[in-house]
Amino acid sequence: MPSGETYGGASTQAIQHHYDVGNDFYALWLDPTVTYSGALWDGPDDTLQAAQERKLDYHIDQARARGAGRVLEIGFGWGSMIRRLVDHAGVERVVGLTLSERQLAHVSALGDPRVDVRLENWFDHRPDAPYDAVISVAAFEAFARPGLTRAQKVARYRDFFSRTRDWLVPGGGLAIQTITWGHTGEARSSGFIESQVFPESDLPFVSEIIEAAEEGFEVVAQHNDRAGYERTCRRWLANLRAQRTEAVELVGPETVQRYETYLKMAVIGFHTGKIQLHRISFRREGGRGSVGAG
Amino acid sequence: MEIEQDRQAAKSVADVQLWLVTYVAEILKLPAADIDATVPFERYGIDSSAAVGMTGDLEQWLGFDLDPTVAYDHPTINELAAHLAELSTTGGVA
Repeated sequence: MPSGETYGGASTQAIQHHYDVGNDFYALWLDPTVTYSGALWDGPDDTLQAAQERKLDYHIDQARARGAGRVLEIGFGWGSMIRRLVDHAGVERVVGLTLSERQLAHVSALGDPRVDVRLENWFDHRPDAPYDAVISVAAFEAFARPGLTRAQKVARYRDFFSRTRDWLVPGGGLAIQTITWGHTGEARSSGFIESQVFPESDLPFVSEIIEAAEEGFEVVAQHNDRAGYERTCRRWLANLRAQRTEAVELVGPETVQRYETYLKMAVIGFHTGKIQLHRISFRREGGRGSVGAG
Repeated sequence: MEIEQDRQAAKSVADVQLWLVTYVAEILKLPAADIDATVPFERYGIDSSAAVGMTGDLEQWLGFDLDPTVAYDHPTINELAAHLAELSTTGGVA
C-alpha cells in the first residue's frame, strides 16, 4: 500500500474497544484531570495530578504552544490538554481529534467556543487554516497495525509527519509522547496487550519515529521517561485496587481484572525497559531563529 | 476477585522454594527434580504475562499483595523464595 493513500493504523472500532469502556470507570482510578498517559514526576512527594499537569505544561512548552493562536491536538482523551491550553496557556483556538465517541461527548459537553473537537482520524483531517503547534500524547502507539515490516511502519509514520508538517506554520512546533518498544529482537511481546487491551496496534521503535520525521522536521529534544510511566501505572493500579468494588459495579469483574493485569504488565514492561516512554519534540523547518540554548 | 485475603501463616524459604519449583514444573510439564532454582524465570519461558499470573497466585497463597515486578527484581526461585519468606515474616509490605 503506498504511503499517503491508505490509513495503516488501528481502526475506530479498535480504539473504541479500549477507550469506550466508560468515562466513569477511568475517572475512578485516573487523577482528577483524567489524564490517561505517563506523568512527569518531580520528587518522591509529588502527586499524580501535579505530575500530570507538569507533563501537560512540558508538551505545551516543547511545542511552543503557549499564547499561540491555533493548536491541534491529536488524541485528546478526556480533554485535560485542551483545558490546559485554553485555560492556562492562553491559546485562542484548539482543534482536537479523537476516535472515541465517549471522549468526544465528554469534551463537547464543556461547550467552550475556543474548542473545536471532532470524531476524526488524523488521516482524514483537513485543517481550515495552519496551526502554530501540534501536540499528540498517547496516540502514536496506534498509528501502525501489527504485522507490518519496518519499512511499512516508517511509511505510515512518514505520512503522519508529512501531513503535520503541511498543517504547521514554518518553524511550528510538534510535541509527541508515545510508548515505544525498548529492545529490538524477537518475542518482544506476550500478545496479551495486543489482543486484550489495545487491539490492532503495534508500538513504534524510537528510530522509526526519528527516521520518519527527518524530512520535514528537526528534533529539538528527546527524553525517555519509562521510570515516570512505571510510577504512573503503579499509582493507577493502587487507585483501581482501592476502588475495586465501585469499578466492578461499573464495568464488571472481568474488565476490572483485565485492566489490573494490563497495568501490572505495563509496570513490568517499563521496569525492565521492554517498553519505554518517549517525549519527542520537533520543529518544522522554515522558521526563523535557531534551536537550543546557544 | 478478592484482594484482602486472610493472612496466612508465615512461610519459610523452603516452603516458598517448594511452591515455586512445583509451580514452574507444572507450567513446563517437567518433573520437579529438573527445575534449577538458580536459573532465571525468563529462561524458563516465564514472560510478563506468566509472571503476572504467578505473582497473583503467590498473593493468594501468601495472603498479601506483591509488587508486580517482584519476579524481575528477584529473578530466580532461590532469590524470590528468600525475599518472599522475609516478607512473609515481616508482614508483607509489597
